[in-house]
Parts: sequence; structure tokens; C-alpha cells
Amino acid sequence: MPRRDGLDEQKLIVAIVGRETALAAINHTTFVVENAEPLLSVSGLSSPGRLDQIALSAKPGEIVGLAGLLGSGRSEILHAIFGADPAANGCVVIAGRPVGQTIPASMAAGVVLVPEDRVRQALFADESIRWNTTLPNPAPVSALGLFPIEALEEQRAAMIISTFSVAAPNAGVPVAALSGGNAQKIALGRALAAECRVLLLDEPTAGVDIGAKADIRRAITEIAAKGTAIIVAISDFEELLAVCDRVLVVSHGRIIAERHAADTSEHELMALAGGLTN
Amino acid sequence: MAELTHAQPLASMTPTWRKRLKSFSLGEAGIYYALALILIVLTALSRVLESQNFLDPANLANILYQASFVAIIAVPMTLVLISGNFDLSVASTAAISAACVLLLSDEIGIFPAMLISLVPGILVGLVNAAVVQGLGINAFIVTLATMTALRGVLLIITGGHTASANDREALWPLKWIENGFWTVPNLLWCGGAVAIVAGALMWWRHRRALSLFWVVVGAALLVAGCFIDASWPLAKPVYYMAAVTAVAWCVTRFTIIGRRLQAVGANPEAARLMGISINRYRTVPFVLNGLAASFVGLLFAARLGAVLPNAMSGMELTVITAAILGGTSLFGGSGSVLKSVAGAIVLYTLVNGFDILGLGTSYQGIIEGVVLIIAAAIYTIGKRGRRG
Repeated sequence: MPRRDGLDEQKLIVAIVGRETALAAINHTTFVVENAEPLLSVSGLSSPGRLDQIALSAKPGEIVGLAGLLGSGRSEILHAIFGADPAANGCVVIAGRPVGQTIPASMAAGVVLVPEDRVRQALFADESIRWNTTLPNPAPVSALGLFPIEALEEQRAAMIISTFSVAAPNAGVPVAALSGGNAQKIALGRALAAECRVLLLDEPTAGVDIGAKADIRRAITEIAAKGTAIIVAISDFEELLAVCDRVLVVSHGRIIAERHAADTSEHELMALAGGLTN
Repeated sequence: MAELTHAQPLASMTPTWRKRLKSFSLGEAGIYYALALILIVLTALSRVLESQNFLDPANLANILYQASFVAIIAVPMTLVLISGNFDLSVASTAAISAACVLLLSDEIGIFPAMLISLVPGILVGLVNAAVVQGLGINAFIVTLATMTALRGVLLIITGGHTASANDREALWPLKWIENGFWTVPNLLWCGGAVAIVAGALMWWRHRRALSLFWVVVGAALLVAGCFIDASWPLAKPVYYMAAVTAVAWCVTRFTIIGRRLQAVGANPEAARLMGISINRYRTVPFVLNGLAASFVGLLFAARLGAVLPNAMSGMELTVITAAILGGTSLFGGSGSVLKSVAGAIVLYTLVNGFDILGLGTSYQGIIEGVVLIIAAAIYTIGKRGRRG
């Protein structure tokens, strides 16, 4: 993208959002626990017609990026790790324990997925923010894990709304009344409010305004700081490099290259993902 | 932020108040208004025409009795509809069970016959669910097929004749379940007890003000019950209807199970990605629906003592009509068992009203059709208003 002198992304964000805090999310510090065993390790993960022998790992606090073109298999990798691809076969190990290839098993092992298409895959448009934040993880706001208690639901929803500065008058508003960016913040905030060990994020910043992008990136690094392993797919390679510690390049359902974020550039990633270099 | 503008005028009110007002809106509570309106109109008409008093407790009890069969199935049918499915096979299932219990009672005794007659319902539910979920065929088509096939099965097992038991005396346990009344000892005491239990639950759910309100109301009713005797004999099926409704309402309204059921109907993909088992949440309603249909089949056999091969045909549509009158979406994701039961009561209030006013049954169909269209129109327009 051609730029005018003196107006880089950081300044643009600060100019629009008017907050110095936005910068903190961009000047990314790493939280990888280098000498730890991998928290997530995947090997031989294949799915007919979609994925071929995917192997990857992530240490506690590490943010691993998946770089690839549209349809390269980034979302498919995340879904297969999460157990959401019934045709997938392979080995997913979390904290040394193999995990079954089903969604409930993955969730029980502490894996959380924030899917790409929030309207179709993550949220219930007619229902309130409160309803949507309770559904995937009812236990902390319910009596006996079965009866949701409105006051507690309200509390948690309000916490998510304020942490992510969601533009909503209250937690009773239906999600359909929110803008795309605000709906995404709800989907993400809901996942981040849960205690998780492995977080899989599919395009967490797509269709979100630039201020919200900064909020979301800051939230991602905060989660990593707690020792969660994060796998994230973002189409914008510049943004991906700003968020991640390490990048895996995906093409035609295979991982074809691995780079440390500090040692590569968006141009190199673009060339790799497009199949221009080896 | 443009999307938010229509929510702005309401934003100044507290969320609870807004919710309370919303639950009284035409789109939300329309069926209760309709019931009240129909009762008022029919009462006025019965006074003007000087026919039998429509509001007589015995007549109201009769309406509840007439509505109970349809209402008992309408409850699980609502669950099926919420989960995003559809079931046309209930009337055939009920007829099969009715024939089974009468034909089997001579062979194996009435108690085993009653138990075995519940099996067809469970089986039909499982088959429906397996074909709909396993093969991914539309539920309308699958249950249309099971409905037709089961009528054929019924023709075979009855040989095309009326099914009945030779030893009618032995049918007494079946008769006991359906025939007769249990008297509500004192309506005021019962209402008071329910209100106090509701109050206690509200307290547990951290709704302190509402809880106190209900406890005070309950205490007032208990005291009033000491001075006014308001006993009300109700037919036994009415109690079954009340029990089924109460359990289903509590589960759908207050538990996470109800929310998951709604989630599965509203957005199956999102529900799946939250680890909710779509198959389980769509199979169980089918099985419950079949079981309820079988139970109603037993009640039907007990009421008439004989079953024609075309018994109860068309009832599946009455059940679905009741659910639609109650505002249940045919596309899944929303519905209320309480309102479906209210829908069934509305239908039978109309039937009863026509009987009392001496209007022919020929007008009944017309009025029911008009009522259904009006209800659907109100819900559709109400929804449009909400979406803005």
C-alpha cells in the first residue's frame, strides 16, 4: 500500500482513536516461555481434500500466525485442531495429553475457537448480548451449572462490554443491533472471558474499525501474557506480523514454510504464500 | 453506529423495565390477549343470546378437557419446532398406540399392553430422528412419509375394522387413567402455594424484589382461601397437560438445556462450534413427541374404547396450528410451550363457543382459518417492527 510520508499505521491509529494505549498493542513484546514444553502440538493432521499432514506446535504464551491466501486452508487447520472437521484425522496433543477429535473433547481440554464468520458461525443475532455470552460457557454464571442466574450473566456481559469498549447501551440489546466490529468484539470477548489453554482465532480483526483492531490486538497479547498458546489466522500479513511471534505459511492445505516474525517481512510472506519462491 | 439508532429511545429506560414492557407487547403476549378477547366476546354473545353461560366453571373445565389431548402433544411438538424440525407423524402414532393397547389387552393383559403401547411412539421418534439427522432429509418429507406409512400399518393390524377389546371389564386401569375427575381442593390455596414456590425460586435466582412480590401474593391467596371455597373438578387429562407443560416450560425457560435447544434451531453451525450436540438436541424432542403421541393414543383408547383405522387423522395439523398460534417459528429457534398450550386452548374455546351458541360446525373451520392468519400476521408484523 503506498503511503504518504510521516503517516504510518501507528500514527493513523492514534489519530483516529486518540489513545496512546493503541500503540502498546502494536509494539508487541513476546511472552513465549522459551524453555517450556509445547502446550499444543499437532502432527499428521489430514483431512481429505482439505488438509495434508499438518504439523505444528505452540508454547505457552506463544502467538503463532497462519499466513496464506484465501482458500489456502487456514480456517480448515483451525477447525481441524478444534475437532470441528469430522473427516479430519491426526494427532492433537495438549499439555502432553492426546485429545479426541471432537469439539466437546477439545473444549474440555481448554481449547477455544473464535470462528471467522461471526454471524453464521458464532453468534445468535436475535438474542441479547447476555444470552450470547452465557451460551458457550454457562457454568460460571449458573447455579448447579444448569440454571443461569440473570444477575451473574448481566455482570459478565457488562464486563465484556466494558473491557472491549463495545458500543451497546446495555447487555440486553440483541446482537443483530450491533455493528460488525462490535459483534466481533462480543464473540472474541466471550471467548477471552473463559479460561483457556489454547486459543484459535480465525480472522479476529476482519471487518473491524481501526480502533477496535487495536483493542483486539491488545486483548490477544494480554491473553498470551497469561500463558495461553494462540494460533491466529489474519489475511493482512502486516497485521499478522505485528501480532505474532512466529508465522507458518499455508498453501493448498499444507504448511510450506516457517518464519520468525522478526526475521521476515510481509513481502516475503506474500511471495511464499503465492508460491513465487521456495 | 447507525444500526443502533432504533435502540436509542429505549436506552434511557433500565433493561429490566424495557424487558418487562416488551413481554406485554402484542408480538410477545398476543396469544393471551387473543384468549382473553375470545372469552369476553363469547361470554357476551352467550349472555345476549341467552344460551348456556359460557364462563361457567364446568364449561371452562370442559374446554380444558377438550384441549388437553392436543395440548399434551403440542408441548413436545413445540420442542421439535424450536430445534428446527417438524413432525407430521404424531396422529398416526397416537392411533397405532390406541389400537395396540386395545388389541393387546386381550392377549397379554392390560398392564403389559399399556407399557408396550408406548413403544411405537419411542420407535417412531427414533426413526424420524435417525432419517432426518442421519440422511439429512427435510423433516417435513420424512414425517409425511412416516405418517402415511403408519396409517398403512394401522390398517394392517386392525384389518381395516374398528379395533376394540373383547374383555371390556379388563380395561379398567386404562379407563382409570382417563375417565373421571380430580378436584382441585381449593384454587386459592393452590395458587398461593404456586406463588410462594415461584417466589422462593426467584430469591434463589437473585431477583429479590420480584420474589417478595410473589411471596406476598401467595400469602394473600392462602389467607383468602380460608374464607372462600373455590374447588374445581377437572378431568384427569387436564392434570397431565398441566404437568407436561410445567416441566417443559421450566426446562426451556430456566435451564441452559432450553437455551441450547433454541441455539440448535436458530443457528446449527454456531451451536455445533460451541460443542452442542446437534443430533442429541434434535433427537430427544422427536422421541418425546412420539412418546406424548403414544400417551395421548392411550387416553383416546380409554375415552372411546374403540379405535377406527382413521382415528385422529388430521390431529397433527391441529397440534401444529396450536403451536403456530402460540408464536412458534416454523424455521426453528423460537417458541414457547406455554403459548402453544394457550394456542390449543384458544382453538378449543372457539369450538366450544360455537357449540354453545348453536352455530354449525361449518363456520368453525372458517373462523379457525381466519384466526390462524390473523395470528401469523400479528407475529410477522411484530417481528418486522423489532428488526426495524
